[in-house]
Amino acid sequence: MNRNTALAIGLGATLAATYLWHGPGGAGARLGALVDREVRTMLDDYEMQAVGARIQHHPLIRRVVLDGPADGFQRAEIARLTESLPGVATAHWVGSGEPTRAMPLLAEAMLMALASFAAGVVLAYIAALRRRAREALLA
Amino acid sequence: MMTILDFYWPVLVVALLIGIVSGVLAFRRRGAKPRSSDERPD
Repeated sequence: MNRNTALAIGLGATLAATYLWHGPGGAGARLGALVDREVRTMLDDYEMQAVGARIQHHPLIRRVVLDGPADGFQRAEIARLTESLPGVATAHWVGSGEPTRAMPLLAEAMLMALASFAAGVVLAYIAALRRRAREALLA
Repeated sequence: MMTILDFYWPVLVVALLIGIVSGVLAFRRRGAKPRSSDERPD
């Protein structure tokens, strides 16, 4: 197995593992449910039961879509408070123009996994360099 | 970001291990090279 083949197989395995954990493994759905629950609790605490909130699906994005009766000040504050919750990237009110661009959760997870994969490759490379240096000294 | 890590840390650990295994396979020595002392005439 040559160098590029080994790295390509590892890269593919990393992306496949991330997809399986995100989709069939249910990590994305669990994160979405947690965000939905936290936003709902926050809105209920501020007595904004008439405002609806749900995380965006298809594709799953860490963007909370808000909908319901609220004046300009309430909209701005609810959006700000929602974005401050852990797990939320952006908040968007229905009918307030184009939402800000956000990356799908699967893409975020894959980028993190690729960074982790790269860290593993670098560790193995450093170990190989150390081994070769030791062999060169003993030769 | 912390919430993503809470949910995805197992994948990151698996990716790190896959990276280490891939790196070991990619950077292993292929056959021993002749040492310089072997080439020197006695």
